[in-house]
Amino acid sequence: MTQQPLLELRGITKSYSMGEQKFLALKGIDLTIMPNEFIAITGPSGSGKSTLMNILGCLAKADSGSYRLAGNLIADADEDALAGYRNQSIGFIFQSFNLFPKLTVLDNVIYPLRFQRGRAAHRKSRAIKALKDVGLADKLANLPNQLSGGQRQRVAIARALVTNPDILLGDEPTGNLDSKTSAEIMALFRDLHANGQTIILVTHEQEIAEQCQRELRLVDGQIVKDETKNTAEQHALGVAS
Amino acid sequence: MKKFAHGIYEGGVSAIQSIFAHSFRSALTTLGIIIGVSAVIAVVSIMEGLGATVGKQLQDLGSEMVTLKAHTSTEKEMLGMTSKISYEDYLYLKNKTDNVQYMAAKVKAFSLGSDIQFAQKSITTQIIGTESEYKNVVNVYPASGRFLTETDDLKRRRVVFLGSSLVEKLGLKADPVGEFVTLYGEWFRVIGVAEEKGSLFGFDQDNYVIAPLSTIESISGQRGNLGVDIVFVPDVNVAQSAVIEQMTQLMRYKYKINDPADDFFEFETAEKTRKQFSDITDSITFVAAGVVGISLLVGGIGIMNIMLVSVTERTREIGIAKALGATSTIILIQFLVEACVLALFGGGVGIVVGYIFALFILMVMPVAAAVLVPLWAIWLALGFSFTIGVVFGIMPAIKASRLDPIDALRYD
Ligand SMILES: Nc1ncnc2c1ncn2[C@@H]1O[C@H](COP(=O)(O)OP(=O)(O)OP(=O)(O)O)[C@@H](O)[C@H]1O
Ligand SMILES: [Mg+2]
Repeated sequence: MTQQPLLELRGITKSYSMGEQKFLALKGIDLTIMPNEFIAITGPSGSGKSTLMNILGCLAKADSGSYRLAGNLIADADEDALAGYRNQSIGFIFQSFNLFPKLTVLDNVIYPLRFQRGRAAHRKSRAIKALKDVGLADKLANLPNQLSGGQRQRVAIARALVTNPDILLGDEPTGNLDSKTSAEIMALFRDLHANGQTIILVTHEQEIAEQCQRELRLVDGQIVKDETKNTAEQHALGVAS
Repeated sequence: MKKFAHGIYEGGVSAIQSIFAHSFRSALTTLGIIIGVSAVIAVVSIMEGLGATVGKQLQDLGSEMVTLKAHTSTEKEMLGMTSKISYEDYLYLKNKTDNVQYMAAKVKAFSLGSDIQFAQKSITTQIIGTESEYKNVVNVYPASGRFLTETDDLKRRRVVFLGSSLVEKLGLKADPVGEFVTLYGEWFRVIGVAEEKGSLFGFDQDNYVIAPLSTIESISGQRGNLGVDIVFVPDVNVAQSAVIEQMTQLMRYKYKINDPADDFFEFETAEKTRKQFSDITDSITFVAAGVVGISLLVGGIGIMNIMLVSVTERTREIGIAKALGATSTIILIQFLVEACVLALFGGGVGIVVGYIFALFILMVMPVAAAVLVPLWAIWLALGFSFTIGVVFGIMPAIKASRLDPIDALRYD
C-alpha cells in the first residue's frame, strides 16, 4: 500500500522578534504524517508546540522550510489561499473553545460553511448532523454561555468537523476541562479516529498522549522523540477505557 | 464576487444585530448624523412647503400681473424726497400703451390711517383706493354683493368692498351688504365681500378694504396729488417684457430721462417676486447646509470612534472568523457595511425626526400650508449618510481586516 503523506514538513523554522533580538521558536522541523494517524505533540512549556500547530493549521507561515498539506505547497500560498485551507482542509480546536458568544450553537457550527458553496438548508442539515455526531443534537438553539465546558468543546469539535477537513488539530483541547470531561472528549477523538479522521493533539498530559498512536516530543523547538506505538497496545487501551 | 455578496450579507446581519443590541449606544453614536439629516429634512421640507404655497398664491394672483411702482433712489431718500407716480401718469400710460388687457391705478392712503370701524370695533386693515377694472387685474371676485363699478368712481360714492376676514373681525352679520362701516370718520356702505384667499407666511390675505379711488382722494383732500401704483395685465399672446419695455420708454420720454439709472419707477412681476423668494430660501438652505456639514462631520467621527471600539471589542471574534476561513476582504466588507448600516440608521431616524420637527415648527409658526418632503431630499440624506459610513468606516474596517489571526485569538 503506497499512500501519499497527508502532511509533509521539511526544515521548518519560525522565529519571533522581541525588540532587537530574534527568538528561534522552531529550529528545523522535519515531519511526515500519513492519513488517519492519531498524533500527540508533547513537550515542556515554551518548547514551540503551539507555534508548530499554528503553522500546521495555516494560521501562521514558517520563516523557512517547506510545508505540503494534501499535496499543496503552503509556503507559496497568499493570504486568501491560506484562509481557504483553514476553511476547507483544517479543523482547529482551541483550549478556550473560541465559540462566537452571540451565535447559537447551530449558527456557530454553520459558520465555516458560510464560506462554501451550498444552499442554506443544506448547510443547516450538515451542521445538525455534525452536532448529532458529538451528541449535542438537543442544544441547537442554546448560546455558548448556556453550556458546560465539555459541551462547548463538543460544539467546537462539531464546528471543526462540519467541513470534512483533511486534518483535525487540537491545541490542548482538554486543557480547560476536568478529568472526567476530558476523558469523554478523548473518547470522542478516538471514535473519530476509528472512523478515519486524521488527528493531531497538543497536550502536556502523558495520560492523554498515551491514548494516541504516535507521540512527538518537542524540546526547544526541535523534535526529540517520535514514537509510534504498536496497534495491539492501542487496541488494548481502546477496549480498556 | 460571491465573497463580496457574502461579506455584505454578513456585515448587514451582524450590523443590525449589534445596532439593536446596543440601541442606546447606536443612537448616541449616530446623534451627529441624526441632527444633521433632521436639520436638512426640516429646512428642506419647510422651504418646499413654502415654495408650493407661495407658488400657488402667486398663481392665484395671476402670474401675468405687473405692478408699476414709484422707486426712490437712496440719494433722493437722503435728501428727504420721495418719488411718486401720479394719477395723471396712469392716464397717460393707459392712453399710450397698446397690448394691455386690464389696467388699474390704486392708492394706498397710509397717511390717512388704516382703521375700519363697525359698532364699537376698530380693526387695522389695508385700505386700497382703486377702480372697477382692478378686479380683473388681481382676480378678486365677490362672494356676495358686487365689486366697484365705474359709477362708484365717477360719483365718488362712499362704498366699500370688504376682504372676507373683516366680516368676522368686525362682527358683521354673515352677509353684510348694505351695512355701514366707518373709514376716516366717514360712513361707507358695504357693497360686497370678496372670496376668501387664505393666509400666506401667516399673514391674513383677506384683511383689506377696497373703496373708489376718487372717494379716497377727495377725503384725503389731495385730489390729483396722491401717489398711485399701477397694476396691469398684458394682452394674451403679448410678452410681459415687451409691455414693460414700452411703458419704460413712455415714462422716460415723458420725464426726459436719458440715464436708466435715473428711473424713479420700477416694475414688479410675479416672476420677480418668485425670484426674490427663491433667493431668500436659497440662502436659508445654504446656511442650513453649513450646519449640516458640520454635524455630519461630527456624526462621521462618532461612527469612526464607535467602529474602532467595536473592532477592539470583537478582536477575538475576528480571530475566530479568520481561523475558520474568513478572508481579510470579508472582514473588511463586514465592518464597512456595519458602519454604513449605522450611518443609514442615523439617516433614517434623522429623516423621521426632521419631518416631525418641521410639522412642529409649522404648528407653532404657520408659515406654509403644508410640510413637503421631496423624494430627492430623502435620497440626498440617505446618500450622505451612506457616504459618511464609507468614509469614516473604512479606517476601522481596514484595521479589523489586517488583524493577525493568532494575535487576535490570543486577545482578551
Ligand atoms: N508572538 C510571540 N512573540 C514573541 N515570542 C513568542 C510569541 N509566541 C510565542 N513566543 C515564544 O515562542 C516560544 C514557543 O512558544 P509556544 O507558544 O509555541 O510554546 P508552547 O510549547 O505552546 O508552550 P505552552 O505549553 O506554554 O503553550 C515561547 O518561548 C514563547 O515565549
Ligand atoms: Mg501552547
